[in-house]
Amino acid sequence: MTKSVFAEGREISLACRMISYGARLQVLEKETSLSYDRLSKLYKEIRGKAAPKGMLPFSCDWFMPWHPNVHATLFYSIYNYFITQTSLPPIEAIISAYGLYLEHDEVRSAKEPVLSFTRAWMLVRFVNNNMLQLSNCSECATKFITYANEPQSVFVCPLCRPPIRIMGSIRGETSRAKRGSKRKSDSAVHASMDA
Amino acid sequence: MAPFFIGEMRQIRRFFVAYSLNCYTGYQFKCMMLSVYSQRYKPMTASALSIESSSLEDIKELNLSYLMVAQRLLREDYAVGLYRLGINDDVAQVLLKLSMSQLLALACTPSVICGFRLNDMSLLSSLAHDNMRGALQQARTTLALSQTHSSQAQLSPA
Repeated sequence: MTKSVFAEGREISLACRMISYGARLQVLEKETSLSYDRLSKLYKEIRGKAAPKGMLPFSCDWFMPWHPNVHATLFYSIYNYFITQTSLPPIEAIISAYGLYLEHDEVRSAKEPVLSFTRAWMLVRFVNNNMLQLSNCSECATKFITYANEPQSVFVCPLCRPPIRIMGSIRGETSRAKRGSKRKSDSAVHASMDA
Repeated sequence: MAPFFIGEMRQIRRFFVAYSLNCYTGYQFKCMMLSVYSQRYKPMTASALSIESSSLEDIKELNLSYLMVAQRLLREDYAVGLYRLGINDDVAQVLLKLSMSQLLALACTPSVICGFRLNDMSLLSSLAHDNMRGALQQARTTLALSQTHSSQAQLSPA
């Protein structure tokens, strides 16, 4: 079997970038042609512990509640930009978009990102297989992640019509901590969502 | 490209050496380059327009900063640079090839060369719907920036 050393090196560096973002082994196996043993060894070398076992999170429903939905939409619109505007291969686009997603204050103020790399990868697969889609909000025209075949004319996005409990936590926080920074109110949203 | 005078050439070479040794910050470097260049192309009526000249300097400063940052972003990571700047592939290719003197000549135009990316409607709607009290403002802006561009691209072939 002849195998290009150069191509293998590239796949290893791709796998390294994905592992550093916390990708699961199944994702690595799907995206590279490296063997399971080598990937799990690589994982152990980079993260210092064995890769988590078990099935991937396979539910579309996870992306629907308010907080995950905003984060998923944030990631997916960056990914969509790369796919439509640049010639990056899809997996590179996922990695770059995830890096840009991690830069946001809403993500950095939390202990760990709401959308994990594996979830982001699953999200792209769900959209590609027509289980989820981007729908236009009828009020602000921003596109959001919804189930496929969501009726477009009546869809209102979670930013235009947020759930009452979240509005309550935001109002409470702003009146209590007027001297606090904006980042504080972001972390309050996170705290209320985690509880 | 118009050639520099020999004296200016020496001055600029000194700046470049100093810059590469990290003796100057980027800002000082840009100011010096601009002062050399604006002396060269100083209009005769500059004294009459002394009130406006400071804002003209600001515009040149902004232009040069923009061009230099744009080149650096594109060199670091081309695709991410395209995303951050919001420019086309073709424009980015040309921008990458510009030499330092071409960059300076471009920067010395009296109008701002970089545009405002949030077009009026999306900007207004994102500012008007401040029912979140400032929370998630970054996420909202990112959505507006990344999605307006893709909608323009979908419109353009039609």
